[in-house]
Amino acid sequence: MRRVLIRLAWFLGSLLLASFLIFAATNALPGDIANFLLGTNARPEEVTALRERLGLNRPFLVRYLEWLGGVVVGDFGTSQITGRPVTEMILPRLEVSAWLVGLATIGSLLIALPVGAYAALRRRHLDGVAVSAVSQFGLAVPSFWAGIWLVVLFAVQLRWFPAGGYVSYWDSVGEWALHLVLPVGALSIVQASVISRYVRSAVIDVLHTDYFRTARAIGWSRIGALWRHGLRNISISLLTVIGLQVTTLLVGAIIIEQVFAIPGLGSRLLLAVTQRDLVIVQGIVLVLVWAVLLINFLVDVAYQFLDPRLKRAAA
Amino acid sequence: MRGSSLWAGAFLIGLVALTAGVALFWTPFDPTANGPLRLAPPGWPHLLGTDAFGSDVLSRLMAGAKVVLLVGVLSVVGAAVVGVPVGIAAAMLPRAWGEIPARLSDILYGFPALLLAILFAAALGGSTWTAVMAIGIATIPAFVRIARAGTLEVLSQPYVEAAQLAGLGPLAIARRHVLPNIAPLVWVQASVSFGIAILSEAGLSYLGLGSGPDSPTWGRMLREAQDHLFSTPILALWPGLAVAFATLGFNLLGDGLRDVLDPRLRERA
Repeated sequence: MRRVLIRLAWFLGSLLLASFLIFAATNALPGDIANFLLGTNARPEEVTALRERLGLNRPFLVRYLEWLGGVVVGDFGTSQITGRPVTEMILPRLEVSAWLVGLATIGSLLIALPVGAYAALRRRHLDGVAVSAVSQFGLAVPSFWAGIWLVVLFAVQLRWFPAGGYVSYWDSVGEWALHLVLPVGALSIVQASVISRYVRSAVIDVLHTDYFRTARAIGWSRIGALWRHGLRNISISLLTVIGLQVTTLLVGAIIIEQVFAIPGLGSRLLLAVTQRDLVIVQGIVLVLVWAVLLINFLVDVAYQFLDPRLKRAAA
Repeated sequence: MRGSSLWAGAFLIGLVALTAGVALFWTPFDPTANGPLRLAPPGWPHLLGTDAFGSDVLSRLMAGAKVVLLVGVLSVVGAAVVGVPVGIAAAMLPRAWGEIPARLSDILYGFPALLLAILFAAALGGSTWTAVMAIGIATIPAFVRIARAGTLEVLSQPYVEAAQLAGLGPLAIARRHVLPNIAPLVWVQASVSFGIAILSEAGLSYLGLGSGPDSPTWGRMLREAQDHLFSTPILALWPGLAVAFATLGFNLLGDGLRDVLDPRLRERA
C-alpha cells in the first residue's frame, strides 16, 4: 500500500511538471499570438490592446496558475481563433481518439500473443525464424505507411472498406465499425510487431522454467502448459510493454487520424498548429501527455496485483 | 548467425549514407524542379518515375536521405552529449542530488518527440531545426537512463574503489573508468535512438511539421503520394521503403552491437 501511495505522489507531481512544461513551451517562446493575428503591418498600439484583451500582458506565472486552475475543474480556456470553449471542442474528439487507441491496443494483443508464442515455440525452425524476421521489419515501418497500403489494397483495389472518414456509432454502428477497420488495423499491425517480440522472449523464458518442465512431465501439452502456467507470468512483462508502447500508439494515432481524415484529437491539434491557436494546442497536448502518464501509473499499480512477489517484498 | 545482423545493419546504413553523400554533389535531376512529365511510371530517364509535379522521384529520394541523416545525426549526437554526462553525474553525485535528474528523465521518458515538435511548431513554425530540437530533446532521457544505470554498475566494481584509494578525483574516475566501460551501452543506445529519430522525422515531415518545401523529405513524399493512391499508388512505395530500410539498418546495427559489445545481454535463445 505504501508503494502505491509513493507512486501516486510521483504521478501527481509529474502531472504538475508536465503541465508547467507544456505551458512554458507555448507561452515563453517567441511568436506572440497578438502579432500573428494582426499580421506584420499592425500598429504597435493595436498589438498592445489585443494583448491586453487576451490577457497576455500579465505575469507568466499568474497566467499559468489561472490556466491550471481552470484545467483542474475541466475548463481549458477559450480558443483564440474561434472564441469557443476548448473543453467543448476536445471532448467529442477525445472519444474518437480513445476508440482508435483502445481498439488498436486490443487488436495488437490479439495479433501479437499467438504470433509471439508461435515464434517462440518454433524458434529453431525456419517458419519461426521467418516470423521473427517479419516482425523485425515491422519495427521499422511507420504506421502511417502501413495505413496507406491498407487503403491501396482494401479501399482502392478491393473496395471492402472506406478509404477514410468517421461515422458516429449513434448514427450507424455498422458504418462506425467499417470506418475503423483500416485505421485500427494499421496501428495494430505495426504495434503487434513490437509486442510480439516481447511475447516471444517472455514465452522462451517460460519454456526454460522448472514449473513448465514439471507441467510437461505430468502430461500437459506445450500449449496447455503455456496457457495454464505461462500466461500470468507473460502478462507481467506484457504489461510493461503496453505501458511503454502507449506513447508510440498515441503518436501513431495522431498521424493515422491525418491519413484517414478522422476527426480525433490529433487532427484538431494539427489544425490548431497551422492556425497558431495556442490555447487549443496546449489543451490537447496536455490531455495527451496526461493520458500517457495516467496509463503508466495504472500499469505500475496493476503490477502489484498481478505479481504477488512485489506485494510480499513491500510488506 | 553471429554478427550477421551487425553486417546487415551496417550494409543498409552504408547504403543510405552513400546515397546521401552522392546527393550532396549529384542527383540525376534537380530534386525540386518541376518537369512536364507528370506521374510517369518507372523507366528511362526517370528510373523511379516522376511525381505529380513532374519531379524525378529517385532524385527526391536521394535528397531525402541527406535530410534524414542530418536530422538523425544532429539530434542523436546532441542528445548523447547532454544525456550521458547528466546520467554519469546522476549516478556519482550524492543520492539526494542524483535522484533529481534520474526522476526527471523518468517523467520525460514518456514525452513523445512528435508532441514536442508540435509545441515548437505551434510557437515557432515547423522547420528542420524544430524537428532536430524536438527529436533531440525527446531522446535525452534515454541516454540519461542508460548512462546512469551503466555508471552505477561500474561504481560497484573493486577497481573503482582502488582508484579512489589511489587518490583519483571523481572527474578522473568518470573519464578513465566510467566512460570507457559504459561506451558500449551508449553506442547501442545511439543506434536504437537513430532508428527512432528516422521514424520521428518521417512522421513530422508527413504532417508538414518538418523541413520546408524546398528540401524534399521521405515523409513529405508520402504525403504527396497519398493524393494519387487511385492512379499511381507506386509513388507511396519508394519513400516508405526508404524509411523502413534505414530504420531497419539502425535497429539491426543496435542488435548486432549489443551482441558483440556486451555478451551478457545476448538473447538466451
